[in-house]
Amino acid sequence: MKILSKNGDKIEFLAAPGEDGLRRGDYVIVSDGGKKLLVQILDVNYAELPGILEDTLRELASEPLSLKIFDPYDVGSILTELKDSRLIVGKVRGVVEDGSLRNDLLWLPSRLESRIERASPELIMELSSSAGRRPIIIGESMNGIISINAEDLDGRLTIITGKKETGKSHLAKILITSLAEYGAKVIALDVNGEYIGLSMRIDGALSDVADKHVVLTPGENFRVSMEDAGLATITDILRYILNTPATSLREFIRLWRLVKKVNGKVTLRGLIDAIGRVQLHESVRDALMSRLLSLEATRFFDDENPVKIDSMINSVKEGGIFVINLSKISSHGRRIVVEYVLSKLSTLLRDGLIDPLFLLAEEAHLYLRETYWDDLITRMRHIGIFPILVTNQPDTIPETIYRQADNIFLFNFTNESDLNYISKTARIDSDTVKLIAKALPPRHCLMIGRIVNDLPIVVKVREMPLKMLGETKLVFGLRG
Amino acid sequence: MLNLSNIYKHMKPNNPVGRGAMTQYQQPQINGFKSLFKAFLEKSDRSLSSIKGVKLGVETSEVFVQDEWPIQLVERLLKEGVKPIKVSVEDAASRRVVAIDTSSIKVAVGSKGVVVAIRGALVIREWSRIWAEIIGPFMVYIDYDGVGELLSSMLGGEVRLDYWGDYQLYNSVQKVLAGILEKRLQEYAVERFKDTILLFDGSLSAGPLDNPTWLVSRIIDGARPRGNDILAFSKTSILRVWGELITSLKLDAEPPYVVEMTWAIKELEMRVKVLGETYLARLSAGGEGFRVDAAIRKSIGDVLGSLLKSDSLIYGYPETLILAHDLCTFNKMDLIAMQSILRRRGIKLFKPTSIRWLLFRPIDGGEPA
Ligand SMILES: Nc1ncnc2c1ncn2[C@@H]1O[C@H](COP(=O)(O)OP(=O)(O)OP(=O)(O)O)[C@@H](O)[C@H]1O
Ligand SMILES: [Mg+2]
Repeated sequence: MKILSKNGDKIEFLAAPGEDGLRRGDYVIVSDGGKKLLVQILDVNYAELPGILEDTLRELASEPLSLKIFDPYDVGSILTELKDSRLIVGKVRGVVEDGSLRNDLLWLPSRLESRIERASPELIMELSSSAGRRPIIIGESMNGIISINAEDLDGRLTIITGKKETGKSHLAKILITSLAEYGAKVIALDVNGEYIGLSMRIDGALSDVADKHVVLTPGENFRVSMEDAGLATITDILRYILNTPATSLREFIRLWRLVKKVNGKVTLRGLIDAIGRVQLHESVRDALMSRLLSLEATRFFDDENPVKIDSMINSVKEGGIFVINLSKISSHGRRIVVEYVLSKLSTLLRDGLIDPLFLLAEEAHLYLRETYWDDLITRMRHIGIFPILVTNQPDTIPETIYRQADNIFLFNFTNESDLNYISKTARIDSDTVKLIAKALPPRHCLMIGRIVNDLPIVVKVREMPLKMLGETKLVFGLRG
Repeated sequence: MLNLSNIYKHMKPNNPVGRGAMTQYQQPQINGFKSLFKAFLEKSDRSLSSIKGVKLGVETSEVFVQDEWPIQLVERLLKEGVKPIKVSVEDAASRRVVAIDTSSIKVAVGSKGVVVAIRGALVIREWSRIWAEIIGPFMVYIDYDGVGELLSSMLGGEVRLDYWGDYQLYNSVQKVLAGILEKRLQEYAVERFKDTILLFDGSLSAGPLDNPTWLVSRIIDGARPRGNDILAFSKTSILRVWGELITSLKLDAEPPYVVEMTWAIKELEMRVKVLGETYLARLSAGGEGFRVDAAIRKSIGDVLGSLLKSDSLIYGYPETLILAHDLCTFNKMDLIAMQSILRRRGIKLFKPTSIRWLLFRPIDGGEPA
């Protein structure tokens, strides 16, 4: 392999076929006189060779011709090799010095004298790892094991994105089980019911996180009281989710206070009764009645035997995964539950009643109201909710979120507009996103951001012996 | 190293060489070529070993020179007038056609000598079947001291060549070498085939070094008793000449036809001895005209008729000859591949700012770098 050109942080190599074996995302070290350049491979192409067109045409033209060749110097085999030469395009990530990476775009290693070799996984781990002491093994990269530190997810905004069935949820499971094992608490908003099997291993035995795994199914073991939800949350639900008109909302607030005064306690039943009895404009009565009945229909509210989320969270010591199973309820119901959970968590955190936690949200646009996005990355993050967002439709997450993301696990995307959208993130150049993400095989992802000390790494995500229940349900059962 | 064991390869297993009557020509000619060029291969291999560690320059562009049809001829022709000979295809017999061409290139240049590569191709058409045999590339380092011996080794080591002084090493040696390879292949084909139309590139004129009269005569003499007819097509199109002829004279013929003009050539090319007869041939209506030298037993009309029946024409030029040309011609990729072989053999190559500069400032001096 030889350097062909270097222009700023872009570098091109020429390699004989078979010589490279390099894949997009791999790292190579270019060393010259004690100095070392760290380069990430972005693209591998055929080299543009002088006369290749002519030569290929000649071959094509003589295709029907049977050839017998007396070639004493075996020029033919060199030609075959030459024609398969590779042009390798790389991005300079910096100059390696004393075990750390320095930015030096000006240094030009010698074309002739430079030694070019694969970077060892140990070196990449060393350069990409932070000060954390809680490693999470993600998988394999360049024939080595790659891990990140749990600390780099802590207090951060993390996005997992990629095409359908590329392994996003699988990775999310690796992350949250590891976090829980290190003692962290994780709330998982589970729209597909694919996180409910985490306590079982494939072989049927209990998994390592079995004692930390709590599944909360709204309407079943997860029902809350009106009082616990509180006036503000219920008003928000009525306003944003059930589209209650402003005048009706005002009447509702009046009603809530009235019920509280008269009954000493607000219950859903009490509110419904009050609407039937008090003096109200007919249209307001209808509006409120239909909405409260639909709240009741979700079976999420239970004023008799409610669950208290803070005691639930605090009952599990040493880390826990609280899966809120949203797979069995209507889309309204889902939004109502999430609205309750987020506002409740905020209150509890603000009041110091629970510890900071991670929030895993798959396809959040399905249940998160628009106005919550900014909240999520500003206020909520500040009080201690650290989101891990998972999506296969990157444009359902606002651009501002990408810009603020500390970490991205990027799986394969082929769609140009998806790639464009993601490449807006501040933490990485768009060439890297576009060239590498396009070529990622399933179950491989490009890790970007703090988790890798801003040294993008392609990793083959490891297996996990947990029962996943994440597979897409099929009509005819097993596919392939 | 020179590898004589994997010398022979069947690149395309499709269109396999058939059975039956033709078998005698279908055997791989490995041993034929190996023994034919044994002396030369040994010499050339030794010549390359002799420059191990030497620095040589590589040229970035190779200029291909082509001979021009002499302009005076046109004037002569116009004065004398011409009479076309009709070529008839209908009654002609189908025959085997074998086309031969060679080419050469300078691979690297030093102050004392040059590395030259040569390659030859035979294209054989037997009725509907067509195949090619490619010989080379051969590479050889040539300097003033060794040139005579090398050239004679190409000729089988039997002849000493003394004319070297007439030639400029850098400009002519590659062409001379390709010319001699060509003659060797022609001679080889003449002996290998029977009742065949042999198509050569260029002319049958015998010149001083690359076209020794004795060799050209030997080829022609060898062809006749075996029933072979030789047609040498000059690659240079003489469209302009024809254009003038056709507009100036009333040629009462439609192609294909030829015009005899041995007399004109003999007068014009006084330096060389013209063997056989020379014609201007216009073989297809849309095609151009070419000079054709012929050493044949039958009439030119018969032989060309058989050629037209057996081979296809591309712009009035035989397809097999075009194929042979394409298969032996070097391109940039070949050059790169051969230069890499030189490097592997320990020869240092660099790009001098100019080859001229290299020639007049002997920096390599033949010493190891
Ligand atoms: N690293 C891995 N090792 C073994 N199996 C994996 C791995 N990654 C994913 N899988 C399996 O591949 C399938 C798809 O993975 P997963 O459900 O995580 O994809 P996804 O990207 O979340 O898909 P979707 O967009 O449909 O949610 C699952 O059966 C999962 O168990
Ligand atoms: Mg998924």
